Amino acid sequence: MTTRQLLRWMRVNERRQRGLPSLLVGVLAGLPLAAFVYWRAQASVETGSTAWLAVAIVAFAFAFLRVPFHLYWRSDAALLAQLPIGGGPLFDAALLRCARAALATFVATAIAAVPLALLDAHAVHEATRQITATPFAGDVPALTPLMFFLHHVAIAGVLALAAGLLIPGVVVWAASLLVGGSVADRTSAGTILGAIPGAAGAFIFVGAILASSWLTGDLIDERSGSFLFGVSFASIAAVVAARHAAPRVMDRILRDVSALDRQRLAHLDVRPPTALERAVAALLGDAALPYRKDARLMRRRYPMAFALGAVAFITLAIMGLAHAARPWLVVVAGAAALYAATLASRLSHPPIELPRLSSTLPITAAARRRAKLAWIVSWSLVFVGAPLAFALLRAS
Amino acid sequence: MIAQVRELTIQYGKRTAVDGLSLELAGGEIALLLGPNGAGKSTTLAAMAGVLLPTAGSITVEGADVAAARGKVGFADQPPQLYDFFTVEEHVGFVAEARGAAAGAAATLLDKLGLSKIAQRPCRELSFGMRQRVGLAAALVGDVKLVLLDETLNGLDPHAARAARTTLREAADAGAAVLMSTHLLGVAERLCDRILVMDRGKLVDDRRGDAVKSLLAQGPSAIEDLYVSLIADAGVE
Repeated sequence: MTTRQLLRWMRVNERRQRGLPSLLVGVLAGLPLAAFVYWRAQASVETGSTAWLAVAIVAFAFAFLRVPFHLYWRSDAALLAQLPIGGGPLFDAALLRCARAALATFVATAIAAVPLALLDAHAVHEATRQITATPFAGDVPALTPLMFFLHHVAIAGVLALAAGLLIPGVVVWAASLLVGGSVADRTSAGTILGAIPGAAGAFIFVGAILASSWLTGDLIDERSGSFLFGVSFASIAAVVAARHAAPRVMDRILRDVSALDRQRLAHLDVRPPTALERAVAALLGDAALPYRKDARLMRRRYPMAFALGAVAFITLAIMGLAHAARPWLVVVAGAAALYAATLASRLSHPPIELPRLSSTLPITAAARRRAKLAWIVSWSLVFVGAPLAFALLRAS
Repeated sequence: MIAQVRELTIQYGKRTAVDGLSLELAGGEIALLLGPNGAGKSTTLAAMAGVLLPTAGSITVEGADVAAARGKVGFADQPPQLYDFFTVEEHVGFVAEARGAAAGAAATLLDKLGLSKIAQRPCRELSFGMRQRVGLAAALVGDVKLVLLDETLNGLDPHAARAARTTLREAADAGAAVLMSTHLLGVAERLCDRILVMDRGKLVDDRRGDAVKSLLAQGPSAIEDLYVSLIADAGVE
């Protein structure tokens, strides 16, 4: 099967599956982000720029995290792995999905930067003028609002290149380390599949933060130049290398990763309820039974909810210790709130909630709703609320 | 020989699902894989399809490692892996095109299996039995040498079951090897050339040819009696 044939089939499936085109999702996501940046930019030009960078990092972190799901953690991976489709077409189809997601994220972050183009020209000039430059004659170099906006768009463009090309290349390389050998040799599969792309993503974000001085200046310094050109070059090199290797490894990657998942998910560690779950259940009256069910199933089906919750907790705690500015706290809390909304949706769908079974049981709909609310509230309080309160206290 | 399984062992965590299993399947053979729930039948079939990785041992199809034999193996998983947003015709057509099947192969197979009338219906709208039939069609379409069916005949109405049996026999007559797990012993009796019995991850009985014929000659409940005599009712472990 050629790339063109595979893409034709995938397009039919995705067109029917998807509610909104990804670009439209990008536009819609960009509007509230732009409102946030606009709000922060009222404080100062620098605050607006920092808020935009925080928004961009969160948005592209989400895009980076989605890359393995475009490549191999797919619901059809087991079926595709059985069929004689070459690694090249499989990689091309996956790369197209990554590129589309990266483009949508780019559109969202570019729209989020639009308020920066509408700032007062004098304020932008004051904020971006190069105080180290002392010309003998003429104006001090500084940015116009349009150039200020374009600097931000350029950073978004580089991050989009990373999301669409570099991270897919890294993810394919990480997965190729698992190809061949037996399961016994692959006990660290989860670590390899998670840690290598995670480290690459972290490296890119640290680079973006280091390069942020360029956002408020008109000259490319060493750090920002290294970041802009380094990531762009690495993105192209990574995708060329990955495409070169794809015919040999991509079909094996799809098969091996889906097989590993199947084998890993077949084994479940069953642990007793935590003290917190028991305490919450004791407060819920007739909602205790559905709460205990939800809590047990969420812990087993979505262990990542607790890992990411712990990341949010640690991040907010560190930000508190470092007296981080409120915009950063708002961004992290906002990202956590978005994730909590995703978890709330998971709570209402199989395999956590089975509506047909529930409707046959003597448990009221109100009790089921209270159980889910209790789970989300306790998750939010433990992982976000407590460290956020600490960080806000420190910030004030 | 179409398929060879050598000392296959598969572990889920600390639990051993398949324990040093070896078997060979020849072209033209329809083999029935019996065993209690949790015996390792589905795990064996999934590994032979290449969607599970052996902890130890090897699986070859026509002499090549199963990973390199994709396209020669058709697997109807449990539950069937269908693209819910494809129509029946599109789903089977996609698999046919991936396997390089001749134009019209999908339509012919859908017709044989009595699926032509629902060919334009999205897979997500199908009942359990219909999904089983579409999964069977996808497993059989193209030049498949090894057909692996995991409880695929369960949930079929009598017409569909008859069409499935006829189509499977045709595939075997064309040179394919068929290995199917089922608990519907009556359906299997009318179809199988060989009976394999698994228990606790091991093959505990393997009979073919005259041994199967003489077993079936003993009466309609012969396979059930054999099963009961081999497998102690010790409950699920």
